[in-house]
Amino acid sequence: MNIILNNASMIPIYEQLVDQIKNQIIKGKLQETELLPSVRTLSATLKISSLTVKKAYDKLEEDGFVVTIHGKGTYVAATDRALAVEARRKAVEDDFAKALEKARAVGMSVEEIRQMIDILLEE
Amino acid sequence: MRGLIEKDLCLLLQRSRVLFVMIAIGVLLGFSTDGSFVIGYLTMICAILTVGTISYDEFDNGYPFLMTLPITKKTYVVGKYLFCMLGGLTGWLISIIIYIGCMLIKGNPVSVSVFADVFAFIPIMMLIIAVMLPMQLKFGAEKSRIVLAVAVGGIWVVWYLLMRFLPDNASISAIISGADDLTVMMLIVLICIGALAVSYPISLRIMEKKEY
Amino acid sequence: MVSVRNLNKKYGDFSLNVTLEIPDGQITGLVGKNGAGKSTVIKSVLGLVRPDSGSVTVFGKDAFELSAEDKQKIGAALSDSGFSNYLTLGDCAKILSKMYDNFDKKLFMESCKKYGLPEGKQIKNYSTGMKAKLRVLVALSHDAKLLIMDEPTAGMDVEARNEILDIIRGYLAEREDCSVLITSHIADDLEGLCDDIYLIHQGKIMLHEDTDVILSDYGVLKADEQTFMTLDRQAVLCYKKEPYGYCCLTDQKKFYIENYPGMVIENCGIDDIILLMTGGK
Repeated sequence: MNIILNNASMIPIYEQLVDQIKNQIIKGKLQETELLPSVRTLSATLKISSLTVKKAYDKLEEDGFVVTIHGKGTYVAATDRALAVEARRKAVEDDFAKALEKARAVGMSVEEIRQMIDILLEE
Repeated sequence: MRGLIEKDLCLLLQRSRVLFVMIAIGVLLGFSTDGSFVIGYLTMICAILTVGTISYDEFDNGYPFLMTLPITKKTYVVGKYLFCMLGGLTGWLISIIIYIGCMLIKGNPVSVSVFADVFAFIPIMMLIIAVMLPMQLKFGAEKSRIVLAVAVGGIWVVWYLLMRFLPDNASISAIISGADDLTVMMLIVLICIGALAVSYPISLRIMEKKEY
Repeated sequence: MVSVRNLNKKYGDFSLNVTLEIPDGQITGLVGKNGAGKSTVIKSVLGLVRPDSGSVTVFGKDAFELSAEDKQKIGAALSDSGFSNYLTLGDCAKILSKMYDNFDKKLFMESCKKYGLPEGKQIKNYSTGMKAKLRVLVALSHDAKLLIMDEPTAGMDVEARNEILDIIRGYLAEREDCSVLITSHIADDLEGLCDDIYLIHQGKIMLHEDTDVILSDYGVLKADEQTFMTLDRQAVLCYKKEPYGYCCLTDQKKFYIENYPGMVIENCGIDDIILLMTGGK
């Protein structure tokens, strides 16, 4: 498992952790039934509090990416990868929807929104 | 307890040079004097050296850490009494060996009568420990020296005044000189046991009241 | 594991009043300036001082009455007290092996060697950093279930500090159930180690928060006079006058990021909190 955290980022550490682990599961870098490092071990290597790691693992479990077996550890769950990818697409769609809402609120036209997206894509 | 004794032993051995010099002086004394002075000397020195390990515990603010170790204050106090007595006894045994050795080398006969005196040093050594330990615990190494000096001076003054102004001091000295060795011995042993019986609970109280 | 309730202790002008809790398996940090009362809390938990009032319990027992057996399960590293300076490392190992049932001599000597502590030298010839490492290694030498560490990194350079923290992290990684109370006046040291943080100032607890909440939700707002006047100060914990305007501490930086897009908002560390909460209004 390879995790790079950005302490200066406004994204909370635990969210960064969740995202990166999810990514690695979706990309197949972390295989099904693979054992994740223990909470304290990961917190020691990343130099973050173990509560942060625990929160991240809990969130991952809630989202069905890992399973924690008490006394044994946390394993990568047997997830349907296609489904996971779909869930992430949905999240992106939601974010776009929010952005569109804001854009409409300030009175941008469809054309203007398209233009903005094109500009952003070119960047 | 074993850990504490081990610590005191390590501390004592750090001063092995002092110990060596003391024993060397003991040997010299053994050769130059005929009496049992060397026995008294080494026994007392050893008792004082072992009591001195308390000042090492106290140096550089050592007590707080010591009390985080798996011991209680009671074990600490008991350990100190044990260690000091063992120290005194060891000094006593060594000095007897030196004494007998010197006598044999000098070709003097080892008189049995000396050994009556020899045994008297044990209760005296214990008396010293009984007085010094609570003082060291209460006042620390520096202050206890002053307190001890003042106390000894005080006792001397009281003694002097008693002798001076008590009208029938003749009778006291008569009692002292009239008693046979065994009675004196018993008396000394009783005083020593009494002193320890008073000293130990006082030390314990001093330690239990302490905060670090 | 440890519970401190209404602990009161007076030393002349200084008076301490603290309530804190260390649940099983939690790593709790206590930060504050020098003289804020950190060491007194530590000493109360270790049963070295008797509270004037209030209660301090460790393993469910009064800390002042802990038995030798209870103390077997505690590993303590104090800031200014350790083995006698006249002893050597070898002596310490001998003493520890007679003190603690679970003392692992081989491991202890190996780690001492790894961190460059010479066996035969008297401790008084050690450098400050070496002494500090020794104190920490001693605390970790006997499989303790509760670590109490007072300023284990005080007076050290960045490298030595990191080394000491790594020693502690390594120990904890192998023991998920070990609880820790650790103090520092360098908050940075604790951010990457502690699950939650207590901020103590002039003998009182000013703040108690999970470390990741501090790092994710707390922030420093930098507002000029004008913005400050119109700023919704509901989630501003305290502020301080600066040459450019006001520096504000918030525990809801997201709110301000969303509602005041123009304002400079920074992530905030525990050090910022100490500075603002103990120096600001």
